[in-house]
Formats: sequence, C-alpha cells, structure tokens
Amino acid sequence: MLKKWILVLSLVLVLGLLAGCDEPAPDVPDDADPDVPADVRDTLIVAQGTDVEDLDPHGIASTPAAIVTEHIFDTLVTHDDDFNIVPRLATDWEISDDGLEYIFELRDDVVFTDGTPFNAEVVKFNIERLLDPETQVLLRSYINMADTAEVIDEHTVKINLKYPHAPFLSRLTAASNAMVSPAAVEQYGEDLSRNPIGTGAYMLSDWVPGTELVLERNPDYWGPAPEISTIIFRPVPEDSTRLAMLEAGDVDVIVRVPPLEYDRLSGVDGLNVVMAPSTRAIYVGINVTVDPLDDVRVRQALNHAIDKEEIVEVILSGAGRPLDSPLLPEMFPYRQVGPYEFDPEKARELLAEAGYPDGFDLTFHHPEGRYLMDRRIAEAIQGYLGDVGVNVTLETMEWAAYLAFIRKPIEETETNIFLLGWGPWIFDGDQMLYPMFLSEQAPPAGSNYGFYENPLVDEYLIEGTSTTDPDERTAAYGSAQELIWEDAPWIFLHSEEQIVAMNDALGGVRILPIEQVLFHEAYWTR
Amino acid sequence: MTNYVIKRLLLAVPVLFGVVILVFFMVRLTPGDPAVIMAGEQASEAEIELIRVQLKLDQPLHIQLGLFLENLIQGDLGRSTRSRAPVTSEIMTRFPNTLILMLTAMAIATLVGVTTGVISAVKQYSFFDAAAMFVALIGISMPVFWLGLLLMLYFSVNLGLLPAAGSGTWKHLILPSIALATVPTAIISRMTRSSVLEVLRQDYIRTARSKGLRENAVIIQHALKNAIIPVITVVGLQAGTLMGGAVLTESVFNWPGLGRLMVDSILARDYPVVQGAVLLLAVVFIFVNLLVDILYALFDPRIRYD
Repeated sequence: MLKKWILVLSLVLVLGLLAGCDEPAPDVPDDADPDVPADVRDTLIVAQGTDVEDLDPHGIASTPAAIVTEHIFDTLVTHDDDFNIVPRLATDWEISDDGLEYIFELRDDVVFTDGTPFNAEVVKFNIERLLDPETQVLLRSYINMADTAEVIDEHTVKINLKYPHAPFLSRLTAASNAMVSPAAVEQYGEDLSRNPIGTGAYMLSDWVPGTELVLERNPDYWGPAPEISTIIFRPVPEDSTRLAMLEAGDVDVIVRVPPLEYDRLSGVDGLNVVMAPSTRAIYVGINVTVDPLDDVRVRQALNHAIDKEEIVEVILSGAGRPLDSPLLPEMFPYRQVGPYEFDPEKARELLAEAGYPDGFDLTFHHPEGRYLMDRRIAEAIQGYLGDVGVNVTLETMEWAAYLAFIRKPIEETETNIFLLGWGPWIFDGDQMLYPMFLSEQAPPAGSNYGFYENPLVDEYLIEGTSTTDPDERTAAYGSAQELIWEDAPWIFLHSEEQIVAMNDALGGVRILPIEQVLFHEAYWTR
Repeated sequence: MTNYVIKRLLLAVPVLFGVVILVFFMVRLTPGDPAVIMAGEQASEAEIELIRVQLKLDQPLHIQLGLFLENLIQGDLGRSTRSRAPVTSEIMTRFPNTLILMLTAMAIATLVGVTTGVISAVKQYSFFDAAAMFVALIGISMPVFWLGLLLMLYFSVNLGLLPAAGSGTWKHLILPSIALATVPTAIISRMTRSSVLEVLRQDYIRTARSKGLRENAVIIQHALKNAIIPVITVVGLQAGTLMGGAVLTESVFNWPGLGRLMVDSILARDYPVVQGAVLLLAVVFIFVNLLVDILYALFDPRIRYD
C-alpha cells in the first residue's frame, strides 16, 4: 500500500517538474506602485545595504551614515558637480600666504534645529571638539592638521593649522567635519549619536535601529526648501531582499545593486537604474619587501599578466573602469599615466629577465563580500597569473581578521599579495597618494600595506601636500603618479561603479563619486 | 515543585556566569580588532590607538574582565562600540521582534506539526499519511534561506499580496514566520507520528476502546496525552534551533531581530553587544529548558521533582 502511494507521489513530482519547465517565466507586475495620488506623494523610502550606526557626524566613518548625516548637518564648504570647492555654511574664505591661517566668513541666517544660532563660536566649538582626544572621532586624519580656532567677530572665524596642508579646504567638505549644535552636545553628551541636531535640510524625526530612520524636512532650513517632506532610510543587508522590495514597490530607491542584476533590472518597467562612477579604487597590494616581489620587473609583469578590461566586462558586467593612474579622473590632479596593456607574452619576458622563467609561488589573501565580486575577481587573477607561470594560492579571509592580518608591521607581516579597495571621502588626490604610497605610512603607522618606498615619491608627496600653489601641486603629484605607476607597488585593477535603482517617477537624485546618494533636490514627477 | 523551580533558577546562576566568562574570552581571542574595524582600512595607528584607549581595549584582559563583571552586577552591560548606544537598549529594541517571530513560528509549527502527526499516525499508510510525511521530508531538507526568497518572490513580487520584507504590521510577520516554521513543523509532525503510533499499540488503548469510548476521546485523551512527552522535548529543543534559524530568516526578510544584530556585532567585533546578546540567549535557553521540565510533570503525573 505504502509503496503504491510513494510511486504515485514520485510520478506527480516528476510530472510537476516537467510541467514547470514549460511554464513561462513569472510576469513582473507592470506597475509595482500602489495607486498613490501624485499630489500627496512627498515621501521617499530608501533601502541601504548597511544600518547607520551613529548620527554624531564627528564619530562616523561609514558611507551609509554619511549619507544620512549629509541631510541633517552642513559642512563649512562643499563641492559642486565639477568637484570645485563651493560655499555652504561659509560664504567666503581667505588663506594666508604661508598656508597656515584660514579665515572664513560665515552665513548669518543659520539656526540649528534646537534654536541655537550658528556663528563663529559654534565653528570654534566644533573644531575644538573634533581635536579633543576625548571625543570619539574615527576620521581624525581629516582634521588633525588643524591646531586652534579663533573667533574674529560674530560671523568670522579663523582656523590655524599646525603645518601647511593644501587639501585642508577639501577636507572640510568631508561629512565627518560637519557642524553640530554645541547646546545639543552639552545636553546629550555621548547620546548625541542618537539625537543629532544640525542645520541641514532635514532633521531626525524617528529612529528604530535596524528597522527605519525617518527624516522630516527642516522648516527653518537656510537653503532652498527640499520638495520631499519625509525621507525614510531602511537598512536591508541582503542584496536579493533589497531587489525584491524595490520590485514589490515597498521602497523607492535601493543602493548597491549587484552588477549581475543590472541588465535584468534595467528591463523592468517603472524602474530607473543608474550606473554612476565612483572613486573607489580596487587594487592588489604587493608586499615589495619579499623575494621575488622586490623586483620591479616582477611587479610590472604581474600588471601585464592580468586583463583588467575583461574583469570589468565579464565579472563586473561593465560596472567598473580599469585604472590608468593611481588617481581617478574625478580627483585633483589626475594625470593619465597608464594603462598596463594586457600582454602575457611581455609578462613572461619580464619574469624571465628577472630570473624567473619558470615562475614562482605566491599566496593571495583576499576578503569576501567587501568589494563588488571580490572573490570572483581573486579567482580570475589566480587564473591570469597561472597563465604566465605564477602559481597562486588563494586565501579567503573574514574582513575583521583580514584587516588585522594586513596591518601587521614589517617584522611580523606574512603577506605576499592582497586585495584591497580605497574610497576617499574627498576629491583631493592627497587623500589617495599620501596614505597609500608615502614610505612612513607603512604599517603600523598608516595604510601603505605593501611597504612601498621611493624617496623621490616621498619628496613629491610631501611637496604636494604642503605647497598651496595649485600649479606646483599639479606638477609634483603628476611626477609622483608617473613614478608610482612605473614602480608598480600595486596590481592596478579598476574603480567600482555604483549601481542605484529607483522608481522612474523620481528625479533630482544626486549620486556623488564618493558613493553618497543625496536627496536634497529630489522630486516626484507623478 | 516550587522548591524545584527555585533550585533550578539558583543553579542557573553559575551556568550564566560560565557563559559570560566563556563569551568574554571567545570574542577577544577571535582575530580582528574592533578599533581597526571602526576606523576602517585607512586609519593610522595613532588614530586607532586613541580609539583603543577610549574603548579601554588597551587595558590587560583581566582588568577588562573585572570592569565588565563589576558593571554587569549593577545591571550595566556597557555601550556598543559601534553605535555607542547602551547595550541593553540595543538588545531590547530587537529582542521583542525575535520573540514575536519565534513564538509565531513555534505556534504554527506545534499546531500544524502535532495535528498532521496525529492524523498520520491514526490513518497510518493512508494517502494523507504518505503525502504529509513526504512534505515533511521536503520541509526538513529545505534551506530556510532559499525558501524565504521563493516565498518573497511569489507572494510579494509576483502576486503583490504581502510586503516583501521589513516589519511593522501583522502582514510583515506572515512570510518570515512560515519560513521559520517549516523545519520545526516537519520535525514535530514526524516525531508526533512515531510517538502516537507507539502509544496506539499499548494495552491501555485497547482497554479504552473496549470500554466503548469514542475514537476521538481515545486518541486525544489517552493516546496523545501519553505520546506528548517526546513531542514536548522536541518542541523545547526546536525553540533553541529557532533562535539560531532566526538569524537566516531575519536576514532574508529584513526582520529587525536579535539574530541580525548578533551577526552584525560579531562581524564588527562589537564585544559588549555580542556578550549581552549571548547572555540573553543563555537566559532564554535556561528558561525554556525549565519550562519543558515543568510541562513533563503536568502531562505525566508520574514525573515528580520532589
């Protein structure tokens, strides 16, 4: 009896599977949107990949947090779409000839959402708070060249630097250097991270961590009033869940769309899928102190052995730009110095010249899930290097353990080559070149994880950061980019493109190359 | 019974203490440094050292442990290193969500599992029995993650009946609790079936029938009541599994529960939150185990705890 039923059930199952093959793919609803009349639609729901951990701008280091704080707070200066520094809370500024004094004229019509007026005292308070070792500031390198701040009059403030630092204005555009209300700091102390009080276009109205964060339009905002009255940010870490929520109409905008979904999503009615450049450079760091990676010919060979175009086209579905300089075109002062052509033959020649005609063994450490398609890219590199005789062993590591691993000082390091990415929060090339290629920035001091050292590069980088003259800076950084490219302390891969998908009735969304998606000027067309 | 419960609760104290110490060292022995993760890959050692000092991570382990225990005794679990909010508030905003999801899934699993199990046993080898056990087998083997995505795709994206993910209304609860309940439903129904089958062969069932009792009364009052002990054990064990399974379900359905908080905290090496959450889970486990033992005595008067 039982056997009979099992037979019947198996038959049903097999038939069901066969029938399933013929079934057309399920239809995607034409219009996932609920019927909301256009005139009441002034709310926007955004799904981010990561939860915001902290809303005290001075304590943030993550992009999702910066996206939210950029709506609540203002910085003294900001940049326009051509990456020029333009006024925000400061209307004008003057820099002393020695590059040590910055005098800012401030807006006189700005009030924090708790009623505190914005003035020179506030700027002084903020700079001092950012420099106070007691304050939990994660991005200290964006402010620690500042020394003191002086009130000149109600709306004029002077910031003194410890040493001349040309990118200082650029650093003041960073979301972590925004102005917070001194009264709120007084009132909330450490809980300012939950009670952000700024001067921005929006203010926090509700926040349930892990669930949603609601911003309401600031009625007293000094700038043009935004069209959207309520922005809701929802953390949705699962990529597939984010996509489903957008397609089901539960959210209006999603960030970090996986590249593989780009083509399919672009075909869905009612959605606008945008691929925008980012300044996040992805590279394979090379420990230049170990044999045979200490030979520049070997490092150049590794660069020639890998087809970066193909990685971008095939693995990233086009969501990337192969690097042709240590800097990206959006950064000041980019100079095109590459690319390294894909040429396995040349790679083999260079290896033979260096004394490795039969190749050698390397260990390649990489994280998984940190950068777009990181594991697949690592596997592709293993294949390319194998083709020129370099036998690569892959070691996948969890992010936290990986960071600890690559940060070890030279006496303890076990690295050969390792996959990393770096996305600065500003467009000044200093934030890319200085921490990554200056010899004294080698671990444990900084982020020169491959222990790269070239005294000439050091000289150019120090000149570039300390001279305020833009032409001199361009010349110094130009030479540095050429030398670094020639020395090949990295396998230069690509910069990531950011894919943002949104309801196609939404306009005015700004997507900055520093991976910020901003809604100050967003509006619904229907 | 009261004495027994008090004794069990007192015994929980050393267990919890052991859990606390174990977790304290386990999170710290895992490679990775919270200060480095917070500051990112570009921070300088000087910046990181400052964060270490602020988080008191520069202190020797025994001093850190002393500080932690001192605060714990006063009911203070510290502050999250990631969000700087008090750990108790971080956990307590999430725990009710996990509890709701878990209890709903548990209720579905027990109700559906016991019902199908009993019917399958009574109508052994019937079509219902074969079908139910076949479905149960699929249910046990189904990856929760995949099932969740399928449910979402069908009911939300294609049919537009239910919200795809998130929380807030009872509608949000339906898909995740079904996904979470699938495996325990299957296990409970199979367990109930075999347990009831065994009891149905007992002499006292024949006696009950020969007394002329209605079949329903025989099944529910005589058979099920005797068959329920192993089922309770399984339900209790499943409560633990659900706490674990909730991590995946919460991720897929973006349910703001404790599971997701724990995963995020472990990845960020947010020691205080991991410690607090594990402590809370340990309390829940101990409580569920105690409840199971008390239920034994309720259903089987032969079991006494004096």
